[in-house]
Amino acid sequence: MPVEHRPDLPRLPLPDPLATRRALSDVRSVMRHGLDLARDGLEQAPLPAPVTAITGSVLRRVDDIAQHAEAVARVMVDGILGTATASGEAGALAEALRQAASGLGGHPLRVDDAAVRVALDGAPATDPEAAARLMGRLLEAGALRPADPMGAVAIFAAVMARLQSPDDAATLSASRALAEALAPEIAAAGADTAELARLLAEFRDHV
Amino acid sequence: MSDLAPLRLPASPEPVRVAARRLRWLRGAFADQLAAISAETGVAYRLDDRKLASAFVSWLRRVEAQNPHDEARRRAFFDFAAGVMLHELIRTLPVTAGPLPAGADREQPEYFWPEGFACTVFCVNVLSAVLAQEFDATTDVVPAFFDIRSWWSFRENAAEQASSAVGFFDVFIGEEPDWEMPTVFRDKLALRLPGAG
Repeated sequence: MPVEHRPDLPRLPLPDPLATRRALSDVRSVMRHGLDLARDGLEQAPLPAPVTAITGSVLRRVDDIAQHAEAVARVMVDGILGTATASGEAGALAEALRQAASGLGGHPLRVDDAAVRVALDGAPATDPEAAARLMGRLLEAGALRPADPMGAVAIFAAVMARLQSPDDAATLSASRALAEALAPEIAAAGADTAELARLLAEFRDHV
Repeated sequence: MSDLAPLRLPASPEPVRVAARRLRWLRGAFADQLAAISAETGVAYRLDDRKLASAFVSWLRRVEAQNPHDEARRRAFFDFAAGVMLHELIRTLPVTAGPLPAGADREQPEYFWPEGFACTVFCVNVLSAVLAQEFDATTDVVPAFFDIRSWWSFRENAAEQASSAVGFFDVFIGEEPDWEMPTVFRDKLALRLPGAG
């Protein structure tokens, strides 16, 4: 007997994947911090060698549990988001961000694939206004970490390049050079998507 | 060096006047130009992409703001745009020349000021390509281009005021320079101020 399709059934309320991942990440950080403190204390405490060995073994076990928790969290979030690795448009955008961010900023900038997937929110941006809105969502979602003013420059470069010619290295390279030249204006625009759209419209045909 | 280093422009489905308004084309063309000059002179060059992008943004905004969009003024505007490009390249200097080859004659422009020479040759060659496509016209530099005294003056003036590069560019291509307001398109100014220009 065929299963009847029930479109009126309420959808299972899923947790916000990004918030879930951040929360789990915070728990992981707290656990790691606690472990570091315990290790420091163990090294300095005047304990007999056998006790130190046993305590060290316990701490290593806790460390293993933390690593397993991290792996489980990654699987959970990836499951919620639909894929285990970035793919399709999200994957291409994440790769463009990775290349655009390479060597920019005071610290190495890391791409958060999950944040990119959440920010992309559907079809790729094909006009400056949509690209500016996408840029705003990428910034808000923390697609590049740690937070750095040059992150906005890299995001601007990636979305402008993809307006012109997706997946073309020469275009991305030129777009990044342009974005660097426009860095003060990108910083001044901040989250003003109208101003970002104006900049994208001004330069998209000049990459 | 008795002639300008030739420039093989990067392939583009677009006319040169359009392609030159794209950074990736301009960067490729400039790199090719530097390679051609290096092959002839033995001077190696290094191109700074960030400085070139900065020059490009500034140039683009200057020429877009002054484009008369007037068929009768197109030819003059192309000359002007090439001169402003030289100004921006001289101002930002995205090119750094390596050591001169042994026995280089510093009384030759390419060895007296290798960076300024390379930027100028590039702008002349791009203008030449545009004018050939758009007007079936040939562009030649005047003998003053090969006169070291022109380059003494060019280098000294550009160090004080980079915009003087526009005037020297006009001199080199045989046009009347505007030393007063070199970065203002004269034909446009003449429209606004009757009797000017």
